[in-house]
Amino acid sequence: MHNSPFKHFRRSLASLSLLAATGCASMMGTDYRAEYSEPPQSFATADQETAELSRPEFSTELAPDTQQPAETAEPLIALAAVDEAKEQPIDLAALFGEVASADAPSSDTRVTDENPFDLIEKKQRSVSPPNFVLRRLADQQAKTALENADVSDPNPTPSEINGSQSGNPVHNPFAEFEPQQSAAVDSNGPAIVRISSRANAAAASTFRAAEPRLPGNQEWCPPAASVTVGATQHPQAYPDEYIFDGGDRDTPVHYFGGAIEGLDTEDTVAEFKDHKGDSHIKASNRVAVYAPRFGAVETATGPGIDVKIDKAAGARDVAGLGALHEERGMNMNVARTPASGVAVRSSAGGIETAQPAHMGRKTETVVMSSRVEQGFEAMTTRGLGLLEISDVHELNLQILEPGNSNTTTFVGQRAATSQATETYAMFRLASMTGSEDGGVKGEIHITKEASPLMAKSNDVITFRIHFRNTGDYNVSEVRIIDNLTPRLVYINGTGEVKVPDGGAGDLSVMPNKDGGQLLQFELDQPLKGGQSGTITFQAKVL
Amino acid sequence: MTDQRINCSEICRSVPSLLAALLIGGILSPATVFGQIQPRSDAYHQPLSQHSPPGQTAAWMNAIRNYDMTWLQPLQIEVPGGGQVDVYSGYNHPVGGGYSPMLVAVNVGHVYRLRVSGMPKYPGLEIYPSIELIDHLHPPAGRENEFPIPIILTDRDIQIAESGQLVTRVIYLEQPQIAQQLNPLRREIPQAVEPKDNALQEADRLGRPMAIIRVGGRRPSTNSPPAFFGTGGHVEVRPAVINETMLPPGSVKMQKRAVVRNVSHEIRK
Repeated sequence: MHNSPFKHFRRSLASLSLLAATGCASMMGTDYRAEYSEPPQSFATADQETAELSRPEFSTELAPDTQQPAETAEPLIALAAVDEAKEQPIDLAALFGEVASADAPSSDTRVTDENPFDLIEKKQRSVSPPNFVLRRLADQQAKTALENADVSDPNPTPSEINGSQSGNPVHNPFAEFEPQQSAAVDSNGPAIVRISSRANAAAASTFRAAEPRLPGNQEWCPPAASVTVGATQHPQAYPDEYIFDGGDRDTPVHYFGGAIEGLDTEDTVAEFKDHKGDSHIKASNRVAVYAPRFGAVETATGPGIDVKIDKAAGARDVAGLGALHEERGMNMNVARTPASGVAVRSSAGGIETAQPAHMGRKTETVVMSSRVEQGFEAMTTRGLGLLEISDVHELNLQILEPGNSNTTTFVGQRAATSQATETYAMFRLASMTGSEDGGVKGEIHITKEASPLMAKSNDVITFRIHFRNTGDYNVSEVRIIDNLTPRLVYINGTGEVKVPDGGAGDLSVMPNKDGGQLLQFELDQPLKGGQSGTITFQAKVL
Repeated sequence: MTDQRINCSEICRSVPSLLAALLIGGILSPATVFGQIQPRSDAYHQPLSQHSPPGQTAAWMNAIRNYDMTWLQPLQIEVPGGGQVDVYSGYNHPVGGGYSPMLVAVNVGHVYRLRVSGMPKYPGLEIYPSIELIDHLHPPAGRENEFPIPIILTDRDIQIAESGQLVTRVIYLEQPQIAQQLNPLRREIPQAVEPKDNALQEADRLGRPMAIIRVGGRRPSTNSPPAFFGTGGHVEVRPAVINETMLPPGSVKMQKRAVVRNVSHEIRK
């Protein structure tokens, strides 16, 4: 019966289900793995995990296909960077100067083909002047600094250091040794100059301090939209003690049917259209003003109610005592006790005969169950169980052998195809397209401030909303909406919109659904790229 | 005094964990502490009410939250028309006093007894309201005295107490999101419940309960137990901070203008 086509189909289904349930690796036995040769050593060291997975499925001929980029994004970027680097050969001699040549590889691990940042660095350095030119310029600069140095001041100021750096006409972002020169010349001139020359020669393999990521003279960074600025560090811990304004509370502000939805109290958002005409909404940060306010719930209890309750309670207590003195309970107990005794007696009589009858019924039930176990059903169950187990074993053994090549080939092809597709899945092409567009889409960032951050009832708080187009394209129909909480009341005449280049805006005040006010500032003109403005208004705390 | 506190704490420790969980989930649910948007429903059980014995709610809060005894919550006690206010805390002698409006800082989780006397509007009348402090604020450091919990006695309170009735008032911290423009504490919004209703639950629905004030006609006698005078929390009388809401309307208006000018000057800088 195992030779029927239907049986083969069932075995194929069983094998596929086992493949899906247990995975290919657990499906394969040790004998099956022994038929395949070991993967090449280089492949195993390149990606051990991939090698383990590919060991049973692929032969040595298929091994090169498995060296496709791995699943993570970092190796993809690295390989793509390698491809880009191959297009432009790197002049290693110019990179490492006279000391570190291409024949003598540096100990610096950054100079490897796998690190894309090093490849970018190489490309930038390849377009910069050769190293000997840089060194000559550096020595010349150090000599000039020696002549102009004030020996009496051993600690140079940062401005002096920057001044000496600014004298370098050549932009070399990787010439970190130059600050060492300037600082060292002031403290110990000639000796440090010699050291700096050696540092210049070993610049490619020595540690250098990181460059600052932000400009040194940056005074203020706008808070992100998720940041809450308050009188204390964590106003979110006890929000009922604060009045919040700004941000996007609860349901995010969104468009629904062309209208804005989700605008809750305290929300402050900017609505604008980019150069393509698409509408956008951007929320501001939150400000938290410490202004707790209290309420009271009261109730009054009169003495008349107390007198009534006392009388009623006393009457009930007296009635309860009287009832306890009655002997009804005793009678009831007596009546129940004989009832139990009668029951015992009766059971000792004819009921005793009946109880064995019930037991006999139970025994019959057990007999029936034993019959079932020994009968046809039990045999059928055991037979089915054995048959299923044996079938599965047979199916596994029989299908594995003829189905080896089919299964492994199918998995291998699918893995290779999907990885190859993901490797160049247009992600990089998409990003390159964006950068070639020549400009960043216009987007408004708004930041909110409040002063003071602590207030009592009837105090006045001044709010300032700074907005800025952080993109390159203009944004139009700019509208900034501030949905005030009910405890803030706008003071008429205090709203003001300031936009450079003569821009202006209108302010409209309307009631919101929560009994508060909704302020809407509309700019008359589009906001250019990089342009910013400020809205100022005052509100009274209730 | 000490025995009373020990007994109270023992009772509090003997409260089953189920009641503690109910209390946490009810009166001090996370929605209360970490903010809420809408008034909560009455679906949960409220084991405490204004009819609970004085000190029970505070003791439960103290047992659950383990309040810092070094933290003193300022209270601002106001008596209509002014008057002398003396503070008792577990003993039949006042531990501090002053003239209304008075600023006093006390421990959280305790009951205090006040003696209000010398009221020009009610000559010869003395009332002994009690304050049960069940929660506290978290103001910026060093600015605690500027944000006290207001304990405001009204003329109606004194009249009711004089007639022998009892007024129980639950002071709560408003939820700003559901607050209204009218000030409820200044009786701009009548918020009264029937005696059979749970005022503590209603206060919890509107915000965070902070204190329970009981104003009645009960007076101490020579046989009054120490519990009548409170549970022995620390009391510290502090110099009062003049709040503009206590000033005459003309003075308030002038002060508001001054505040506006100062703020504008800061902005121009």
